[in-house]
Amino acid sequence: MRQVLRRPAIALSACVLAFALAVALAAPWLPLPDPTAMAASPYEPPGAQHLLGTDNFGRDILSRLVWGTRLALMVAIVSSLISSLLGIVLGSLSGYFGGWVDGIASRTFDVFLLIPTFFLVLLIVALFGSGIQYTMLAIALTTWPRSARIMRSQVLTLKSRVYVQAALSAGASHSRVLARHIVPNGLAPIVTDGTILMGLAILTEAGLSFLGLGDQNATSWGRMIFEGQRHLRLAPWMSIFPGLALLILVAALNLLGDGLNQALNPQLQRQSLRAKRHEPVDRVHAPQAAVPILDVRDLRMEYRLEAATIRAVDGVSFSLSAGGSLGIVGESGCGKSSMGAALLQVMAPNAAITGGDVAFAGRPMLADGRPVRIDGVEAIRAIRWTRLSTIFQSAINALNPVMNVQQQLIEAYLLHRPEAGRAAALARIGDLFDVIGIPRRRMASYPHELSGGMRQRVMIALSLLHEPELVIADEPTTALDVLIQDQILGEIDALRRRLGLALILITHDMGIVAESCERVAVMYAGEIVELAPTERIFERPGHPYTQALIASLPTVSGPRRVLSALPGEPFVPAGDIVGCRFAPRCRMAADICRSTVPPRVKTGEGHEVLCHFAEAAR
Amino acid sequence: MTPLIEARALSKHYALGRGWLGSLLGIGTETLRAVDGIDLIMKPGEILALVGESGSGKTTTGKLITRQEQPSGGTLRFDGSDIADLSGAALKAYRRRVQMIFQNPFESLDPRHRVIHTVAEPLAIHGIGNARERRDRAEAALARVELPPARFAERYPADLSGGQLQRVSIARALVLEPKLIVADEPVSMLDVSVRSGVMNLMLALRDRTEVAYLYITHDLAVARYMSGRIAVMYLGAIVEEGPTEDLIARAGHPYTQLLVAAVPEHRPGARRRRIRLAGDAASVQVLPSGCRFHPRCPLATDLCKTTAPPKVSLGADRWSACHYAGDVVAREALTP
Repeated sequence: MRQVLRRPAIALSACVLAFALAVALAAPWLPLPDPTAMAASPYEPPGAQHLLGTDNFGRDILSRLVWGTRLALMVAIVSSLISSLLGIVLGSLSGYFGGWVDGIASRTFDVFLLIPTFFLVLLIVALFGSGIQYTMLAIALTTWPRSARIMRSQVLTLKSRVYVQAALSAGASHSRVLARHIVPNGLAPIVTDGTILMGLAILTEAGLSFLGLGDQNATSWGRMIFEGQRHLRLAPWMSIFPGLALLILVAALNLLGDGLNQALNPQLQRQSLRAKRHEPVDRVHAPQAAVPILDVRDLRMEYRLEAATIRAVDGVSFSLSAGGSLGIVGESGCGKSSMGAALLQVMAPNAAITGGDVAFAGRPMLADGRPVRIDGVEAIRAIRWTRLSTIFQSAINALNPVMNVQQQLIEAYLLHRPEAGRAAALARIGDLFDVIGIPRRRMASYPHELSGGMRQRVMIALSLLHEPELVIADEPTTALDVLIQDQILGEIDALRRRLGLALILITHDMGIVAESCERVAVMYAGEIVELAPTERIFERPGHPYTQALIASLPTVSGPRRVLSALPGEPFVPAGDIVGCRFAPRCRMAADICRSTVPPRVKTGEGHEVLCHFAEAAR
Repeated sequence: MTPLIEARALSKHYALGRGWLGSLLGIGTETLRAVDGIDLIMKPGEILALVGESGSGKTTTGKLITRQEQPSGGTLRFDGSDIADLSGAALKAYRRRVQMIFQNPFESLDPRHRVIHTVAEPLAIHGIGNARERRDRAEAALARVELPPARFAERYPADLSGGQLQRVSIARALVLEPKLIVADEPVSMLDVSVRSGVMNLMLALRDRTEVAYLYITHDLAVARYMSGRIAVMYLGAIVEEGPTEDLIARAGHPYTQLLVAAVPEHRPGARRRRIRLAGDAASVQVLPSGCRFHPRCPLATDLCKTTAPPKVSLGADRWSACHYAGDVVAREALTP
């Protein structure tokens, strides 16, 4: 709540509304003349006696304005409350039960949406006479389908949530599930819309009064403006002040609605933070011979969050030779995916590279944390996807659902080689489908027509379109079954050998890199804590964290042994860091680990370990 | 001893609509045979792993046993009494005795409820105890899953890690002291390093509470670690069943052999051969004739294409639905 009020838009509008509410509630006790008493002389301009002047009957405008606030707020609150309640109840029933209930309810929403408010009011006035209660009822009856539709769509998504299933399978009744789990989780947009509805209700009431359809006896802003406009030349204050009041109140309500929407919608919230990024630095390219395909020195990348700055990648160095393969292993949040993103220089808005050098086949891509520009073009752009490509984690999110995969591949191909033409693109894609093992007749399928394994193969095809030299695969098999995982990994491995690709495979599963990579880098809290040839790391893991990762893997062969579990939670690299980041979870931690940053110890050929006890740890 | 779960020829068929035009013209609907006549027996306190790929019907089987779905055929008994057609109060009473743990810990807890509230909810649903007693029992359940109530009771799901969330789910499942917990891939969404902790916890809880688990997974390595017995499912049918170690060491069905061979080998010095499969899993929408595995089977013969295999016994408690089960066990080519 405090965080919500910290937003300036919300704070300002909340102040305005609180003031309006206070004035409205206190109206009977304020030292104001009776709003209906024709006590003073008519058409008196604003002055000491009457702060905002008097009207054509000699009534005090300020007093009428204050009593009008009372009416405006009552209309706003009562009609939006009725409207939202109706909407919530009918919308959730219709969404939850579906079927014929939904059919009937949805048609009812449609019918009510078609009725114009003014028409309904005219009808009601004709039947029952004018009165503020009828106005409010008419506003509620013509606006509730808005809330109902919002609620219905909320419920449709919420009812398939696992926690709803969980409650049902625990024996909860439908009414309990609706009241405890579904409606509370779906209310946010209704609240937001409710404030906007309140503004709408005030405007509608004012409009009706202006047309003379409102309550003849009530003191309403709309009626004041209506009466004022006939005397506009003579007494402009008669309509200006109620007009201003109307404007301010409705604007405050809409502002509040917008602010609440921002505050209650985590997606909008996250985008509000942006990290400052470095400007590119210009370089002239001088080709070198016999260099690694990728050389990374002291790479650093940060996320700016409201609470803190997280050093997701904190001084990572490694190098990968052409055609080589490196596995990057670590838990969620260790910075492995962030590092992949930093290498491609494709990052979330709140992330920034803050240091380090990256060279691709000898060409600088990043110099001292700044993107490199060669001949006026950012160097990474020249190689991204053509020479350095990526296989994304979730194929279903990365593919466009309304385009068939062949079109998508053609588009991706022509994007980088516009001169090639569709025929060449099609031929290349056909070849690729053979390579990845999807029958060519499936080329024109839409993503949803393919199985998870097929989609992941399409992602591989996408990454191989331009015969890249290096592919970064970020958890390419995470959502897949073991059988399909094995197929995909086999595919990647075979392609790598056949095409001479270099591969960086990012995963949380040590078992996956065991057969797919020549070398393994283990990441923890933004750092590489161990780097070694694959066979060696499984035979003689040097870091206690690596040992824990290996000891937690179940097997299907060999004796069944008890798996060890890693206690505690991952370390978050933020602020000043004292000692070893793994120490709080380490079974070997000693005093030195808690006080001194561990050295990077070379324990063998191509094997380095970030640990005080690198030699002893076994 | 009365089996805890006894399913005979249990099946779940879904009618797939042919769209409005089809129904208008009266064209018949297709049937999706998600579970196609399986026999399954579970003893009290045992851990049975149900292993298979997506689309094998393992999750639907779990939903039938927890009665989130109604069987379309066969019999289903729990502790000797028929539960296939339960409804109303009797179904609610049954739900007290069988609980569920879901795959995705990030979605299985209501984000607006504090942890203690989530764990206590099943007690409230069944009207057990007063608020004070419910809180005590929920705190005890949290302590049992190694989440100290003092630190975790008042927190919201957004503040917890995947492993902690899954522990809360386990506490929620345990609080009613059920006889059976159906766990649908409870660790597959977790980091490998966190999985072992959750698995060890589940095993320790079984030893203490005598609860039985139906453990649903696609990973034979996980199934081996968790279970005493394994049933392998393929396209709605159980194709092989037996004691865990024996089934993995001497698989009697080519499909089981494939699953064994697909687990990556990371022990130093160990090597395995990757088998290239003929395409992805077939769909239950168009079941193959004869043996349902024959289109992908490296050993398939003409007999397999025409005749559904019988259950071939491979010793005590062990059988395989393969015409050549005996040869398959003897053949070691697939698992060096």
